[in-house]
Amino acid sequence: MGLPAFEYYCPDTSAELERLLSECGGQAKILAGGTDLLVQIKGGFQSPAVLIDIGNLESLQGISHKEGKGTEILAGTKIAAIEESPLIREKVLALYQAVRLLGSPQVRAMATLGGNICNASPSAETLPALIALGSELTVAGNGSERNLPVESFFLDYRKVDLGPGEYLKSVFVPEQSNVSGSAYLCRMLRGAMEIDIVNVGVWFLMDTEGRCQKARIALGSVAPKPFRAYEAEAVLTGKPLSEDNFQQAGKVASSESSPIDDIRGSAEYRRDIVRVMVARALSMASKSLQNS
Amino acid sequence: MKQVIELIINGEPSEVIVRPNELLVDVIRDKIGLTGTKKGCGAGDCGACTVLMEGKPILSCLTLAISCQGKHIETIEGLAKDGTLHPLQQTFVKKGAIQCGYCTPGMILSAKALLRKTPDPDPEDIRYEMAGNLCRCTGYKKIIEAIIEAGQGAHEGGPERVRI
Ligand SMILES: Cc1cc2nc3c(=O)[nH]c(=O)nc-3n(C[C@H](O)[C@H](O)[C@H](O)COP(=O)(O)OP(=O)(O)OC[C@H]3O[C@@H](n4cnc5c(N)ncnc54)[C@H](O)[C@@H]3O)c2cc1C
Ligand code: FES
Ligand code: FES
Repeated sequence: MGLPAFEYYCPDTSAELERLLSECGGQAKILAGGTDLLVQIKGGFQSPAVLIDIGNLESLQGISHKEGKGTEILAGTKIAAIEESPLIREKVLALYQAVRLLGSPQVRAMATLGGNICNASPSAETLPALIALGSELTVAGNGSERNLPVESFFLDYRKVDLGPGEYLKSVFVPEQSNVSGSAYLCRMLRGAMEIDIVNVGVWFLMDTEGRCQKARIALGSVAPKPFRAYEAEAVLTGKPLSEDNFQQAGKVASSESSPIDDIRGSAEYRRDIVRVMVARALSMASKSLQNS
Repeated sequence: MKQVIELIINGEPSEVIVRPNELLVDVIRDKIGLTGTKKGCGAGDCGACTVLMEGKPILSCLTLAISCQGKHIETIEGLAKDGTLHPLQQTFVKKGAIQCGYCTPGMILSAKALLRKTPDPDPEDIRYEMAGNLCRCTGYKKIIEAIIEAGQGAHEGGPERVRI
């Protein structure tokens, strides 16, 4: 299985990356870990004339934390580096839970967070976790930068908000308070290396009376793109964190999803499993709160 | 647009001329001549093409050779030292964790990375860390036993020590 021919560049600086992106226009694709892109090129689904490898760009790799503000993960950071980071485990538990479920050790050693986001598969592992945690993206290119909430980056099925010359630079996950809980869960056919049937990220913040002040529920694999179940979030807001309310939120989230039938599960099954998984993730998040 | 790159394979530097679209697995097998690294699915799913790059298991079927300039790569051929099989190779033989052998190079390299990270793994650790290597023959049980035994050092100096 050979690959079609392409031109290859491997910039050493962000300035060089920006220059290449603007010179090559729409002909170029960024190559990060290649675990999506090379599979797509091999399968004939993509045939970019130019690949710009960001593997040498140290300025696009790393995880840092600002006390009281949050955690920044640069787009070229490997999934394995996120999994192994004590900082992520302590500060961004739902993302840790998500990356543990992404592919295999080999895939995690190669794949990047930016690749998972920009490939924008509806079932991508990290997206519901990042959406639930209220993350922001920084997109750079053409000499400037802009920030946007992660959920608005996904425009449609596998379509993201990146203009000509732009690339994803970093992800920022705001500091979680000690009265917020979060969790990530997914359902698949086997224990590993599977495309999810549904994946769920949840987050909530409690008020001083122990009620839910704010909630975010993000779902993957059950619509053309990952999305927030706003109506289910509203079910929780202002109410005590109870199993009954979690069940109710699960039911509403299920009615907000629009899954398809495929070989991994029927739409009917997926809708039902959304109900179960949302309630379960909320309950897991509330336990993480009680334990902290 | 051919380019000369240097790969340090099993500690030995090699210079090879590659085109941008050549995959690491093909360069290792066809240009370096080390055919221990296997090609299975070509899509990241089976792990037969696993090699260690800077000590980490990666898929050589989804890696462009041109992106590996100056990298240290370990293949199955690098494991036996001075005519003695690596402890993992010994326990795989001893436990019957090899049948057709097609998955074995990838299995052993993933297992080597696993033991470096977790020297005394339990079956759960092994199932997690070996999830990217498929075996169609053994049923995995003996592979898990072989890795546990290699981790415990039960191979050392035993009568099963194999000479090559
Ligand atoms: C065997 C196997 C199992 C897998 N299992 C899972 C799984 O369980 N869950 C899951 O979510 N995914 C899975 N994947 C998919 C894939 O590994 C992930 O989506 C991964 O995070 C992609 O990252 P990458 O760095 O390899 O991206 P690449 O393949 O290099 O790039 C993916 C896309 O993003 C673009 N891109 C990358 N970085 C940037 C950037 N900084 N700015 C702009 N565009 C960019 C590329 O141009 C390309 O279009 C699996 C893949 C394989 C091969
Ligand atoms: S050949 Fe590389 S994973 Fe199957
Ligand atoms: S021994 Fe045959 S595939 Fe594993």
